[in-house]
Amino acid sequence: MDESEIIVSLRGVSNRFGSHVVHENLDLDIRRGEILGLIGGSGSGKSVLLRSILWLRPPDAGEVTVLGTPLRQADERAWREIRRRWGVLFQDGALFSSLTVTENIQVPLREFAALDKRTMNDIAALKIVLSGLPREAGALHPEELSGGMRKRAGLARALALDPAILFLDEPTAGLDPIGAGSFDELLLSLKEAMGLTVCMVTHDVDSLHTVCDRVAVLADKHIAAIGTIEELLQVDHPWIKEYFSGPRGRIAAACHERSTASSAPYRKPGEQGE
Amino acid sequence: MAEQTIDMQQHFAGDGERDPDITTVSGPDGVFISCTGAWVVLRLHKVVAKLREPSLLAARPVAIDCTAISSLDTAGALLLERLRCGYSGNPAMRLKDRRQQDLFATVAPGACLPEPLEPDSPPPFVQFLNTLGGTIITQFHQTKSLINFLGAFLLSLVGLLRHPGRLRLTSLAYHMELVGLAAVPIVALLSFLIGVVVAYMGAQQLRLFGAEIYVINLVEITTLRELGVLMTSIVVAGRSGSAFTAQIGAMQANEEVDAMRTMGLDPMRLLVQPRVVALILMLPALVFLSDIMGLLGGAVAVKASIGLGIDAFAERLQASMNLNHFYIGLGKAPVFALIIGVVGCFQGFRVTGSSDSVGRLTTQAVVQAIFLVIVFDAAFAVFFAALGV
Ligand SMILES: Nc1ncnc2c1ncn2[C@@H]1O[C@H](COP(=O)(O)OP(=O)(O)OP(=O)(O)O)[C@@H](O)[C@H]1O
Ligand SMILES: [Mg+2]
Repeated sequence: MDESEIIVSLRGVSNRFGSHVVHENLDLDIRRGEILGLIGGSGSGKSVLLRSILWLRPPDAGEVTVLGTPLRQADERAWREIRRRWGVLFQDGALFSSLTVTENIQVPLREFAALDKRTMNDIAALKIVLSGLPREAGALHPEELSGGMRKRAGLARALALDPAILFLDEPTAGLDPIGAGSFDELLLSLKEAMGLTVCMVTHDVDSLHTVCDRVAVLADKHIAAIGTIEELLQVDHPWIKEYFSGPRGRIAAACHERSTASSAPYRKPGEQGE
Repeated sequence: MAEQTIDMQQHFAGDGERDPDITTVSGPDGVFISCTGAWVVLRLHKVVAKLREPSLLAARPVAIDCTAISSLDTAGALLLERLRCGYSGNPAMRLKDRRQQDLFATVAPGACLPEPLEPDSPPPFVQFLNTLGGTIITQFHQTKSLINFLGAFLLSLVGLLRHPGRLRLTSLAYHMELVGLAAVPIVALLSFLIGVVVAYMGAQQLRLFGAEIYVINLVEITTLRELGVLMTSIVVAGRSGSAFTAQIGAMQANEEVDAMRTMGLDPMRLLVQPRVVALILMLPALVFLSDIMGLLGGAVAVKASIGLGIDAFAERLQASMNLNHFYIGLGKAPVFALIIGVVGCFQGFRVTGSSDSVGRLTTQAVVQAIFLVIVFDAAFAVFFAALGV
């Protein structure tokens, strides 16, 4: 992989609420084609950082560049371009509650692509299968779905336009371990097939081991360390040490070692028969 | 991850590339289909019509050639895979690279399933009967559960009479302020204006008979007996009935009501009682205010139109006043308050999961409350007319 290809970069980002400083002079790069995990303690500012990158809450200082466009200078046209190239999965799916799953997926299609009804239905059905939902789920309203299904439906909507970058806020939180595992596999296979770049906030140590190429640690108001898990284990930082060598971290690491020893090739998407 | 070196420009929408296109080409070993351009979701509308052309569908290709496609995404791959499935003889797919293979492998599993059949829709007349029947049944069930709810509330009131200490006083005071005090300006202004309108129009008509002076009796009867209480109830239904539905509905959607139940807290006591009791206490007060303001408006209009001074107006009013009108108007207020409050809370509890239904049910609560208030008002009119008061 060409390491110089930076798809999202943050320089000197600062965020504060009143006198409460959340980020100070924070730098971060996301490389094309990688899955980057963002970890940090509760209240360390992961969600705020994600909202800064998405420009939902522009940072108080600093520059965010997405796909080569500095967001602060972006005009209407550039924004349209960026918004159709990124997909976002909010924590609880954030599906439009008055629309069915199929219609939810078609919202971005309607806005950006001039396709006929039949083709849009075909594309929506494809994304539903890709995200691991049963085909019949397309006709359901969000309130008729379980939390995990809502998350998958949110993913299907985020994938509607084949985005270049996907932002996920705690995608596996609240899923059962099997569901979380298949979500991880789904991400990997989608990344392979669609050339996705993924940035995910997660508390799930298993996910970090199985899907993330690199992990960024948010602590002390900036990215305290970034790298593969092996690299992070060498870092001398109390929070990171505690995180990976605490009981949960150790179990996840042990499981991961055992499974990679006998690792099978990833299943293709659409085959996640649960 | 060596295959991941995709040119950045190529992966995205295919700017600066040609539109997708499809042609049939006769080669030495048979017909094949050649695809070119950018087969990405934002460009596909240029080729959808071509994909359905009979000449293309009638071809019997040996292969579909994708090697000349400059960029491809899942939507493009889906359309091509569906095209391939449509041909008999299982034509081959000629692909350019690993990435195209991945994409086709990704879309293949679901691509060729037959589209789910839409059930045949019945003839319009049957559909009409269906809708009509459905509406009647829903209305029936809703009325039944509304009456159920009313009964449960009245029972809880009886319980309250036995143990008055159980009433949430803080909450009651809070809702009395919201429902009553905060509504004072709007109710006062509206009633004043209504009084003005009634007196003005009445004076104009009565002048035709030379009976302008009776405009005072007209204002007295209409405001005290009907318009005061009716206008106030409609305003309060719009302000407070809707607020009850929205507040309880939001709590219901957020599972707060369920949380209360599991803690052994009774939503009827904590949520419904303070609201409805506050309304029952405050609506008569608002109606009294509305009566005063209506008469005042009438007096002002009478002075302007027939030149009768305010003290003359008051004198005549006192001489001819039938207090029954006032009592009847005021007596209807608690009943209307009960209707508005119970309907508002009832609709709030009907909210299920989605936040979407909060808005719908709020509208419904207001419409239903106003409808019921007017129906009961008509019933009262007939009843009191029969009694002769
Ligand atoms: N709207 C806001 N107003 C004031 N402070 C805020 C606001 N949003 C977030 N904060 C503060 O910013 C800090 C970071 O919050 P954030 O939600 O990003 O945490 P997080 O890292 O996502 O935590 P978690 O893992 O629990 O989701 C917190 O201390 C929070 O109090
Ligand atoms: Mg968060």
